[in-house]
Amino acid sequence: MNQPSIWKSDWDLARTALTDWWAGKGLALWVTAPKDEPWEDIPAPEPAPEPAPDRETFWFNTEHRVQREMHRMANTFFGGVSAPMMNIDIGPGSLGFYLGAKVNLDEDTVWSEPVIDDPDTFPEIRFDPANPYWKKHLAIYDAALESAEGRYLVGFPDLIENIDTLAQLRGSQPVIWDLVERPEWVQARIAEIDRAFLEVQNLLAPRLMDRWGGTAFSCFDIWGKGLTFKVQCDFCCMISPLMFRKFIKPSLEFQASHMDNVLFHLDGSEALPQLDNILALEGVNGIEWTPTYGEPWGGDRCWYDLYRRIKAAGKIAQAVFVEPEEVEPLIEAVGPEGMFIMTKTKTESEARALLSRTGWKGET
Amino acid sequence: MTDLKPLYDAVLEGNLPTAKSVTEQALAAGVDPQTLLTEAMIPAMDEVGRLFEANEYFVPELLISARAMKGALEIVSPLLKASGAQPAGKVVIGTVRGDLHDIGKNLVAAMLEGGGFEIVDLGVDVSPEKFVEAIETSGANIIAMSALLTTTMPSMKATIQQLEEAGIRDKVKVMIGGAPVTQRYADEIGADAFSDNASGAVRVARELSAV
Repeated sequence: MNQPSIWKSDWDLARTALTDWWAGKGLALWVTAPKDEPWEDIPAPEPAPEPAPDRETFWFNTEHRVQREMHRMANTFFGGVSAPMMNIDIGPGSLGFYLGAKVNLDEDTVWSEPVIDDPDTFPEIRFDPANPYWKKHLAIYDAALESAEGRYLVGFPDLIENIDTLAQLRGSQPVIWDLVERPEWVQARIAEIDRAFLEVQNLLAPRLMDRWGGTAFSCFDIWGKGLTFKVQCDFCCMISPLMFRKFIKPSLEFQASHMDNVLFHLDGSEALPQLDNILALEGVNGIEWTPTYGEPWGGDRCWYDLYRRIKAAGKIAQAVFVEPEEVEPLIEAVGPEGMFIMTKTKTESEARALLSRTGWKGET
Repeated sequence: MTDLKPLYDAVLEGNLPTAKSVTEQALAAGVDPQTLLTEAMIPAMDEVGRLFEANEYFVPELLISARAMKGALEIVSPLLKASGAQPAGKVVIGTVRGDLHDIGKNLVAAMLEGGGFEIVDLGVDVSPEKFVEAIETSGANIIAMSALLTTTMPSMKATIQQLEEAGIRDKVKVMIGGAPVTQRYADEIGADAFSDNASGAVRVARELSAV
């Protein structure tokens, strides 16, 4: 039975719009705003939960995390293709934690400490289901899914992959030297990380596949039919396009071959020299563009040509941190097809008005 | 006259063994160590910087060139010190408090060393107090701070304030950098200069040393 989620009456329409977007056919406009009044039937605490007394609680206490997120969702208007989606991340890069990176909890992020000191003696990188961070994270998942009862989405975490995860385990600068001094070692380790990623993906997928036959990816607020992921290689801003093709392309294409909907996170202008390589990746549907901090955000006209270039290559694009007043000019300039535009308005009525002006057929 | 091109090429191509052997041969042939530095090694690193800014060289290429430069520098440095030659300047460098990112800072340090500067590298998570102490003990004329998070950038301003409280702000030039750092932020906190890449940092440091 297809029941709409309580916090999104137009979810059927949103799913259609998202499915069309993945196929490059339509506009996906994602708009959120503070809700004028909280949803009445959400059992979220009011006022908001007390701040976590310590970092361990903030990141790993399942009840606290669920209550925090329930409070956030209860007080958010989800317009257009946005949907209530619980954030279950342990910082970025949780795969690295499952594979043995040392974890340092901070207030708003989680740091890793490398563990591969001697590349010649470090054993094969393997996923161990007994890893304590995997088990803690699974507990968060289980709590989120139990609480959800299908009323909100729970997506894949920000696992992160390929040489980014190797850099987490080894340190970025040592990996740079490894690329020069032991390239076969780097290739072999990336292949091990690819296998570990797939193993984790296969363990999470049955839990996360929803009743609409899709999955979400939490930190990028995307949903698609089948297996849906953001992939990345932040490390690529430091290496040549030639090195990207040798070390990164095979890994990303391997990953993408096991996924249905794949969005590449392009992080900052320093990564733009890799754009041709990224646009040529087989199995990657499109690119999410995050400008470098300090540059204009995603709706600025300086990025119009970038979006046009992505679309001209037959890919879809996700534009983030778009100001509400930039939405319509952006649509006008680059065309709606294949564009996912994320914006936040100050009020629910502004969000509804924007959705109405841009032709959204759902809640306005 | 000894041809300096083999040393220039060895640094440019990141060939450490050749950089060292050619340096030794040149010194044995009577070439002045200062000449090796200023007419081969530093120009080679300047070219590395240009190639980096042109997106022809990337971080691995920059690091292996810097390693070759460092290898050659280790041979000539004692001779330069003995002759009383002065570095282009002395830089205290570090990633600010609360921030553990180091690769950008390391690249800048490598390029500055390649540019003839003496480096005091404080590592990561460096408190304002530690920066000030390092300036006071080393006599450096430049402090270079790196931050890769918006949440750690405020420590740059705190460090400048600490320099003022210590009464040494006018004795040192402050340059800052890192992915979220901008010229506007540098102006806002009273830094003397900003660079958005490792190669540009050398130009900036030279300008600051000339003032």
